[in-house]
Amino acid sequence: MPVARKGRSLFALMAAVPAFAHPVLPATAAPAPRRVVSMNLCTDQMAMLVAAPGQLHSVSFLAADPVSSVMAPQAGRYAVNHGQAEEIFLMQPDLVLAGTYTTGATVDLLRRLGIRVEQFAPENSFDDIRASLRRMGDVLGQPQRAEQLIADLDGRLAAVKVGDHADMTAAIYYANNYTSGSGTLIDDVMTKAGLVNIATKFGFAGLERLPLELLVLSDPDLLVTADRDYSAPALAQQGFEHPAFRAQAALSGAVDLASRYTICGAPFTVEAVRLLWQGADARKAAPK
Amino acid sequence: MTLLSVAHLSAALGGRPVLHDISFAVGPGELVGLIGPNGAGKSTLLRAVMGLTPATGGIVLDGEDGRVLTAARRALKVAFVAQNRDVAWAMSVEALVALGRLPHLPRLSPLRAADRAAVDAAMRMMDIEAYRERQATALSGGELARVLAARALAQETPLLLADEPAAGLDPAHQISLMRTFRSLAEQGRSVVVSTHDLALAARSCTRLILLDRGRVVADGTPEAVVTADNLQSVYRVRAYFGEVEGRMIVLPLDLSERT
Amino acid sequence: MRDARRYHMALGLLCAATLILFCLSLLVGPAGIGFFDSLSALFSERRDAIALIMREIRLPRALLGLMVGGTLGLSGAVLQGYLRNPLAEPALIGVSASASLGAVLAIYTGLSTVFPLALPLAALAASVVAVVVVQAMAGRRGSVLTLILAGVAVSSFAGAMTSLALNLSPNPFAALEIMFWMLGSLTDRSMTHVWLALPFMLAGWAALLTLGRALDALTLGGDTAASLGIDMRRVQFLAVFGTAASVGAATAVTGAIGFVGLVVPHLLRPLTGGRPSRLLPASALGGASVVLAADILVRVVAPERDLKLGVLTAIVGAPFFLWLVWRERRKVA
Repeated sequence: MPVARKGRSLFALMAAVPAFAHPVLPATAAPAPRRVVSMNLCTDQMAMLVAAPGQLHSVSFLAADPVSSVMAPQAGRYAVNHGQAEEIFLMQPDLVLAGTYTTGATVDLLRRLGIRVEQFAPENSFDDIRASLRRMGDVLGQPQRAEQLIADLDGRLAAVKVGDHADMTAAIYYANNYTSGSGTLIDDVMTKAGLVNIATKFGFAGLERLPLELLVLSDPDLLVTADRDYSAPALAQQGFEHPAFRAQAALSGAVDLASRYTICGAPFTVEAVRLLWQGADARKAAPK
Repeated sequence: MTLLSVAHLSAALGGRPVLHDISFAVGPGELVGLIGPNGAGKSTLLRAVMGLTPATGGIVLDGEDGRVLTAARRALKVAFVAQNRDVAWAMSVEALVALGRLPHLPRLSPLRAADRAAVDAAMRMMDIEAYRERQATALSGGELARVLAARALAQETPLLLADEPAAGLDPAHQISLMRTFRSLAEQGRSVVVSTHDLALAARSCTRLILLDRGRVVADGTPEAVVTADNLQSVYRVRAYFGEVEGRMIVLPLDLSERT
Repeated sequence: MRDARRYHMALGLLCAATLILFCLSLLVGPAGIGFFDSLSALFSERRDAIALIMREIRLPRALLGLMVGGTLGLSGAVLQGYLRNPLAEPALIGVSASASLGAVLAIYTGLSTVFPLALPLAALAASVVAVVVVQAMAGRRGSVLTLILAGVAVSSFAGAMTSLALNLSPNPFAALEIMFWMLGSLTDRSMTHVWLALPFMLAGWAALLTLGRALDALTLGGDTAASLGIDMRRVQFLAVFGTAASVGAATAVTGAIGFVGLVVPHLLRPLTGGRPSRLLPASALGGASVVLAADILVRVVAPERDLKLGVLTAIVGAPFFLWLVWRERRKVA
């Protein structure tokens, strides 16, 4: 159940494109595309950052959802698509941006219709973010804008005073008791904030279930929650209301991390690092 | 004195009138045979008396108005052997007969000595003591019929209604069943039995009621009810009438000519 | 009577099994806590992590296993006795699916966050509708076939409506929770759930447990039962209300767990001499044992997978059900 695990993040990714990426062709020689359609939340946001005015025609409907998208306000300026081949074809794009995790059928269909499709893998680290930005700059013919964004990102990362919280442990807890282990973006975010991810102590890699019992037993210094911010209720969020969880949250410092900062890796992911760093700082000031 | 009196009883099933203005009374000591062709209303009449089918008219059971009697109170006055012999679960014969004691048992009480005696007596009367431990679902049709009759006997009510209790029984057990009913009547109780066996009814009952298309056609001694005329008009059969050991014998022979 | 002795022995064994499984359920979990440590944490005044785990995570789970299992076993026994049909069961005749629908509507519309009692109440109301509809369709002397068909229809409809409600929810997780509502789980339920369900279950049990004699009498059919002084309307009310209240509350907090109410009464019936009144307590204990055992297995077999309880009960129950249908068919033929 990859969707359940990643919760909103994978859900968002899946709402757009195909599984088997064609080998990425260097996109240098071609002239800059003039009518770009993005059908994946992450490519939506990155394209909005990198594209020149007028170059990006449409983004996916998720880009306008403030829960998942950091750039929801900007998304209003573009046409909306729902990741379906027919509507995208009718937009007559000269480039389609998609993720690697969504319906292969749609991408294959678009390619057969002669449309160029570029697929982007989800970013699992800040290195991935830099690579994606660089590639986005290349396919959109805006390499300078991409380099500018990368420099910006590095500057803001450097501003976080790593080392202040040496040995402080943290656990990220998503809906349905999932946590992120090594090799995930949130793990890198924790490292950049100077925290030790408790999931890596259990040897977890990627998304794994962390039973409530084990969370209580591991007693992290900082309990980071995500996926809490939905208007409609679901059982998935009931875990956050469990008496044992609440008791642990009261013992640990608690930070609620809006999932939109980490669903997609992008320059704004630095905000997540800053929030965790801030939480750890507050925790240090008021220990158990 | 009467144990059961029915006055101007009418009933309908699914909008179709089945009983029309039926009146009769049964006193202690009577074994009444309810006869009539298929669809005459025998079962409906018995069910109406038991309160199982809605009906208009008066029903008095042992001095109490049958229409306001609670189920629990009715169960102390009248026992009923239903035509449906379906037993849902593999219960032992003894446990099944003991169900007849339910109306007498206080809440949560197990069977008391008196209840056990009643169960034993009922099983003896129906000649089923040998099956005591057997499962009711594994019995033959006739054996089961006797078990179900014993269940009603164990209820020890002044009035007993039985819907075709003799159907499926071998001759010996048919005779002994009717003999048991007769002796209950002689003890001062009333028994009403529906049956298709005219010979058995004529031989065993003290009184017969002949129903046809929901109406009482004849009511009286077997000799008065089972007449060539009645058999001709109601059953449309010719019959042989005779007498053995001072009791009437009737044997349907052939279809009569349409008149 | 040999019958009675065997029955009392069976009851004693079932009690012991339930007790042992309840304790085992308290001892099994991902946090390998020692036997004495866990028991002392449960009863002492400690306030550490182990005490928190025992009291807030494992105790409610074990309690709910006990309560839900008892409910399913008891209601299965009552429904079989009342409908005089060995194929009757809360899940099979659509009560569980309908209760799920009621619970889903209460939870996902946000009603239950405002008014917590809305959850068991909605489940109860939906189950009453299910029983009444199935009974109306099957009729007084409903055959096995009509009963099952009516149950299938009600179940499918309620299941589809549940899926629809979950798919329409703006919360992206909702659609993934169909599994919980269809297969049931005791994972991470809390004392809140215990307290929410308990009053309704107690009311339901009280109603169902009074039916012993009536169900005994019903062995001979409705007419004979009525002639034995059984008030059939009262029996109908108690059976419907008791099932709806207890199964509704159980489903509202743990989802629909199938086949327990079918298999358990069936396996225990021979030990009760075919008497529905004896089957009620035996089946309640048996149901509790089965659900506790299934919940322990779920944790032991695939601790990291959060297997749904209904998966396990169906693996055992579905083949059993097929065998029953086959046997019924032979009996009819």
